[in-house]
Amino acid sequence: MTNQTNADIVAITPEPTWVQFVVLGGDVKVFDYEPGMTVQNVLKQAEAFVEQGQVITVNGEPARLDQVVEAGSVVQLTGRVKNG
Amino acid sequence: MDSAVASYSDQTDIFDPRQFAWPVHVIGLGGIGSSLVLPLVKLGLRSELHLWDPDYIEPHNIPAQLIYRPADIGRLKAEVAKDFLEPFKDPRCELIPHPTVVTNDTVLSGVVISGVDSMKSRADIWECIKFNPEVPLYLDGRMGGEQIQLFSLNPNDFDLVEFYGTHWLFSDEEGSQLPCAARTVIHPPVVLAGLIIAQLTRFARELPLKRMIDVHVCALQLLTN
Repeated sequence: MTNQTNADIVAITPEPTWVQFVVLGGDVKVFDYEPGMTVQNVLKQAEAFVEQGQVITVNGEPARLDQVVEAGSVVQLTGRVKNG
Repeated sequence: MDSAVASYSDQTDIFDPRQFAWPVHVIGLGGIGSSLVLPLVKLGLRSELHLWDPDYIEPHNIPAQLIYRPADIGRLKAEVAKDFLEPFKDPRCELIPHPTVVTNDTVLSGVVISGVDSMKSRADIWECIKFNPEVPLYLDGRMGGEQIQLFSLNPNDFDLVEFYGTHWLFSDEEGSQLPCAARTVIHPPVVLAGLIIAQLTRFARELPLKRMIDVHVCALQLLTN
């Protein structure tokens, strides 16, 4: 199942059988969890790329592309903002 | 009743100024700091409020830095902030301007709030507060365009030190590079200032803090963990 919602109605509620993928300021997608699925798999399914000045996180912690994700995780592509 | 003295009776279950004695340091008086200092004072702070920024106000600061007026251009931000806040503060609150940078050996104690403009500055602040028993709370606000982030942590908690120091102190070169015309605007720092105040009031009530809040104010996305 791939479920895409409008970004402005997102509410992050982890579900044990899902992996959510969020681009901050953009898409929110929900994928069925598959054992052994990696951050790279999630990115590929979402057709997303990590660009300069961005970081991919899993539940808030910057993650490697080969990192295995757990069910219910929120995989997020977010900016490395630094201004004040 | 003395009408010339503020009463905080409408808020004491949320933030009771009588129960909060920590000094507060606001480091950086740009978008975040200039939006933050007035609500901080209006909480009824009775302790020292340290205002850190070496910069002078420039014309491009006026639109997105809340408390500065065109007439303030050319003046030190720390001095202008002090003058601005003076009429609003509790008589027991001491405003202490520091028109200088925080370096890695500056002595800090109390609640430290960062709203600085570079990762180099954040690294220096971190050196001052990491495992510093005099600092029970560090709030690091960051923004870029319409994205804001807030890190809230006890810098004496090993796991949080690991989380922040290992993952979120990247170099300036690794940070987001934004188009000149999409760098800053008034509402993201105002939203962030509200979140910082919210975390401060939770700290004062000994409620747990989310270690990271990530918000996109245009997409109306808010993620916490």
